[in-house]
Amino acid sequence: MQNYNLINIAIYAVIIIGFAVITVLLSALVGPKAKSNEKLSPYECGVEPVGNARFSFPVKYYVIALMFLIFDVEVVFMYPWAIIVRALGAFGMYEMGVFIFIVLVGFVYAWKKGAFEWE
Amino acid sequence: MHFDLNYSAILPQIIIGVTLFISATIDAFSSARKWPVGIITLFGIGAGISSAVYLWGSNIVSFSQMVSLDEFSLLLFITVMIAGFITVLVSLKYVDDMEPDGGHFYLLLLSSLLGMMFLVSATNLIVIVLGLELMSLSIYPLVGFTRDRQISLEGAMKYLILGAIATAFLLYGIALIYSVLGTTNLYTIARILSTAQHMTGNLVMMAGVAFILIGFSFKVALVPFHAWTPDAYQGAPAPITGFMAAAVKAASFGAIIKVVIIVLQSFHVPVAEALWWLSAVTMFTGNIIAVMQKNVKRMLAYSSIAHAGYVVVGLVSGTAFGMSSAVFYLLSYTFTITGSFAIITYLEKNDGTGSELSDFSGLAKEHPILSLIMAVFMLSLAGIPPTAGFMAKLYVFSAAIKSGYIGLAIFGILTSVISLYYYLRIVYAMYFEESEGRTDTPVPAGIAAGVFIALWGVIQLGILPSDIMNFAMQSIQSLIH
Amino acid sequence: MELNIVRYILIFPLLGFLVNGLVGKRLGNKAVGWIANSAVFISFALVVYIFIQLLSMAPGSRLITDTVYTWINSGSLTIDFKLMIDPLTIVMLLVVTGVGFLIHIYSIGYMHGDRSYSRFFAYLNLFMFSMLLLVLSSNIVLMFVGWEGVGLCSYLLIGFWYEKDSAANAGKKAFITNRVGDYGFLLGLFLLASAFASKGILTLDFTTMAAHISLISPQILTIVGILLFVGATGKSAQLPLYVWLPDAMEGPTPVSALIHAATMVTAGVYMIARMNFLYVLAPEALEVVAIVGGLTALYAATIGLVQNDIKRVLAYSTISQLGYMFVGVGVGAFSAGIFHLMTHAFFKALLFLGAGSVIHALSGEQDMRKMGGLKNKIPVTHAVFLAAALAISGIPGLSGFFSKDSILAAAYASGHTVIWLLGFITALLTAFYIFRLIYMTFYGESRLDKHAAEHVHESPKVMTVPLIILAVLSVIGGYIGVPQLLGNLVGWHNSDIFVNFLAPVFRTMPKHEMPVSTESWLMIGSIAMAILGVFFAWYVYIKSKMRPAEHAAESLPGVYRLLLNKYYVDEVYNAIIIKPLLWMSENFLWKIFDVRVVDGTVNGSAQVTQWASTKLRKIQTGDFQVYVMLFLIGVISVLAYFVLR
Repeated sequence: MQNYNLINIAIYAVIIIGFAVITVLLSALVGPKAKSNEKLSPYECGVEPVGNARFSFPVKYYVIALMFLIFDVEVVFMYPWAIIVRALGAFGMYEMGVFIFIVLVGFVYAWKKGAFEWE
Repeated sequence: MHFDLNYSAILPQIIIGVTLFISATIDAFSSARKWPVGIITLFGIGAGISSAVYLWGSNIVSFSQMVSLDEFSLLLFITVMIAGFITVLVSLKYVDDMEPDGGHFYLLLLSSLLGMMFLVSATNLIVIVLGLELMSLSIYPLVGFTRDRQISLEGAMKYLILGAIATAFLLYGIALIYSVLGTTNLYTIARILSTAQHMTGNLVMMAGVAFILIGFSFKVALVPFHAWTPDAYQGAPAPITGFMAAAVKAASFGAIIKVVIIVLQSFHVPVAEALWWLSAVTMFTGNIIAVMQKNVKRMLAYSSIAHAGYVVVGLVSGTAFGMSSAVFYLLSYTFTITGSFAIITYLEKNDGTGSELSDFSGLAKEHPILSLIMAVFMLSLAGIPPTAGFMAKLYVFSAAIKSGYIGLAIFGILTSVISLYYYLRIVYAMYFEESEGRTDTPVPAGIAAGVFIALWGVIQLGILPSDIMNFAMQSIQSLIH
Repeated sequence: MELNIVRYILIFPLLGFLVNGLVGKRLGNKAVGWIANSAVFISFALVVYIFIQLLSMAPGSRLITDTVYTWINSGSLTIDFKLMIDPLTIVMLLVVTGVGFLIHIYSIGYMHGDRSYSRFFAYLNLFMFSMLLLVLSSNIVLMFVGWEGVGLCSYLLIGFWYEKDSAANAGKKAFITNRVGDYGFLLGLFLLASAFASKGILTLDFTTMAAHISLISPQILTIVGILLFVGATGKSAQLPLYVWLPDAMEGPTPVSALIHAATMVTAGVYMIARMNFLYVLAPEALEVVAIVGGLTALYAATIGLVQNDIKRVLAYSTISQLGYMFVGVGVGAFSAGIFHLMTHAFFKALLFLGAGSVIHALSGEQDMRKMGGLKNKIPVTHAVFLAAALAISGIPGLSGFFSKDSILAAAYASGHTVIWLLGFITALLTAFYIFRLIYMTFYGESRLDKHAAEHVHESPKVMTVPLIILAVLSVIGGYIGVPQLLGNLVGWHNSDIFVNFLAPVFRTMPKHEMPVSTESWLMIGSIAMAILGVFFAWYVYIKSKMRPAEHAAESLPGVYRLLLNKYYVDEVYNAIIIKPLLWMSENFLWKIFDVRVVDGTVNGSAQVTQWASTKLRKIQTGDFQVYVMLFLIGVISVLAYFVLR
């Protein structure tokens, strides 16, 4: 039983790694290339990754990134829940409701505090 | 499907959590002045304290043995919530003066309380880390609450980075222990250790214990893991400094006491020896450096380092009485230090100055009662009867002597004599130095109330210590079973 | 019976002290007076209520307790903060709160216009708290707390006008002399505690001690009894530690009345009565008490004969009367001693307050040689003063007669003939000095200063009303303890209510029966002494109009000077104890030990500390890298410790 699970995981890992490698390779091979200064930097927008550490940067990026992270993780938490939601029954529904409510309060708070206003 | 979910095991936490939501909603939809949020917070914490008092005597382990509600966690709940209550009282006016839209002050305070409560009621190392992080992550921004003060941000930044390093050590230690024992449940660990032989010879295990000790030592600021303390304490808003010194310390010590009692009984000798050295170095360094400080917040930061050393004296002795005396010490220190910082809050000006020693000069002429109370707090910190501080020191030192650590007790008493010097400097300044003229504003009601609660505690514990000590004994007994 | 309101007797004076002490200055004098007085009045009302409760209980089981909390629980010793009221306590409580309340009212008038009005009432309330704690405590340790508390208040109040050197010194003298006595008390307490502990009794509760006292050997009990009595000689101003009380008159007059006449100084008598279960088993100690009491009574009375300061006469009179009380308890007649304690509280408080009224009328004059002829100018004061003087002299029908007579009768009956004789002679002297005071002050020609004479005025109502109440008590207070001998004359059975009321508290000594005829002759004898004393005083100061000082000085120069200088005791103490101590203190302890050794060590260690602080502080540079460095050093040391050990 245990071995069986481990084999599943191994297969899963190989597929994932393969997918990642193939995607990167494919885009490098197939995609069109325009070698301007902007295009050569790792990210086209956002903060310069290389340079002096002491400069002022817009904190808004980070707020947005944090908000994204929170909701991303929230959704990730829902996957395992979705698998056993039938077994959990009504109790499971309530619990997820409470969980979403908690995150929702945070969301409303952030919204009212102006976390999503760009200017 | 069976769930091990007994919600009364986290009732006080639920109360604080719900308060957090209500406060957040009100904060989000309210105007610039935020004291109503503070009032809601006060009610919530009050309800939390009442629930903890109501639940006294219960013993529930629930959530798959993740948290337990026993007298130990309840007493520490009460301790940190009292600290939170006084801090909020003191901050009601302060927050609105400092920040135009500062409602998050109360929210962060509540969430740090929540973290502390999970920290002390955890029976699983993972939950301990969760609680610790929730507490710390809420405290960092509170240290930097006054955004336009450079010193405040500097303190917060240093605290954050060093705190991250310390958490890494703690997690690493937990991982090492997990690698040896295969569990993070405190009671399971205790059971395995009590049957296993020669565990003290297992290097991985020993390294794990060492790393956990390091992680906690940082949180309670034992020398040499204390370096962040003076900067963070001086930079933080005065009420928050009091809150950190009282509640963060109490909660972290709560976790240490719990781990030491439940898990490390078979490691008692090496842990006690290591704590012996940490305690001695901490008492010495904290008190010595405090002598030359000119800023009262910084002075009390070093003093709080030294006080952590005194609490450790109680831990070193390893007996139930020693542990109880440490808990008693935490409670007494909570009252004294929140009270002291309430008075400093009153003196602190909007630009962050006002906490120099010279700012206390001649205070007795203008505020005789406030000065008298401050003097009482200072005497309590120095350990002069009939204050709480005296009884607390008496208990920890007598516990150490009973367990045969006479040298440490004598050393501790000597360092507390040194401490008298700088505590009395403040009293001297208030009573015998001439005022340099300060704008005389009336004492806000919140601060007055906070100061009087703290004063009540200091006197109560100083004059009627035996009741509280009985509670502390019960709380330790509830861990030992 | 457990009754939780008992603690409030203590709480209200304490509250009064806190309020007046902390914010009294801002409240204004009127409010301060009200707060202090109502605090004491509430206590008095509570005491009366409890007294009624107590009376409704069966005589044998009159006991009310109130356990506030466990005060000390050190494993081997348990001391509760527990209050206890039995008949003995309630008598003391009634005296302390009743007389105390009257004196509080009087103080409103007397202290009127004083700069430190609120401080005075704060101290006064603190004193009430301590005294009530002393009386109410159910164990000897808690009693000692009250004992020390009243000592502290006495010190504070004697030195109340601390800007006067003499007042400050008098305060110091009282405190230090009391310390000597307290040293004995503490030794006795420790000895008692260890004696009980060795028998497995780990508490010092009076009732527990009383139940198990027979476990302890009589030798130890005797030593304990004498040591405790040393404490009593300090607090109650007996030979040889009485010297502080006359100087204590530097304090405001209400203080003299409250602390140094009616209440605190009687604490020693109360303590011995409270510990009667011990003293009954230690007859030698009791003998010491009786002898010291008798000697003090006579000794202080002789000094009182020649004093010219009105308050000092009363001070020596107090010492002498306290001697009577010790005679009473010393011969085993505990109720007689307490009875005299009570009547004395009435008339001596009255005498002091009356003296205060005189002093008030004369704008601060205390020298009786500069008084005289005041009878018609201050009639109320004169009337009450006369009542008190008759009471203290032992004129039949007034309170002092009954109480003094019962002490003397008990002394004679128990075979202490010599001690009885001392008391008998003292009765004559007492009547003489007190009427000497009356005649010099109120009768004869006026010898007032011109300035003082213009301002003579009767005191305000707030002062005279308490005087009148006390006068009534001084007159009728004795009728609760009428000797059975006199009761029989009018067919009154059980006329000695007081003795019967207190009887359950005290262990009985072997009863000494006296023939009725002897008792009658004794009584007639003491009445004769009292009348003789009054007559002598009248003869010397009124009939022959002799200037007292000159006359006595001419006829008996040596004795007179000896008495006037109070037997030179202060000088002797000064030469034998204080001078050598000061010399040693200055030349050895201060110049050598203190300056060189102690200061050297202290200053040296302070310098070392500061030096270390300056050096250590440098580690904390504020550089983040240094912090991380420190952290890592810590990590490596802890890790190395755990892994390499």
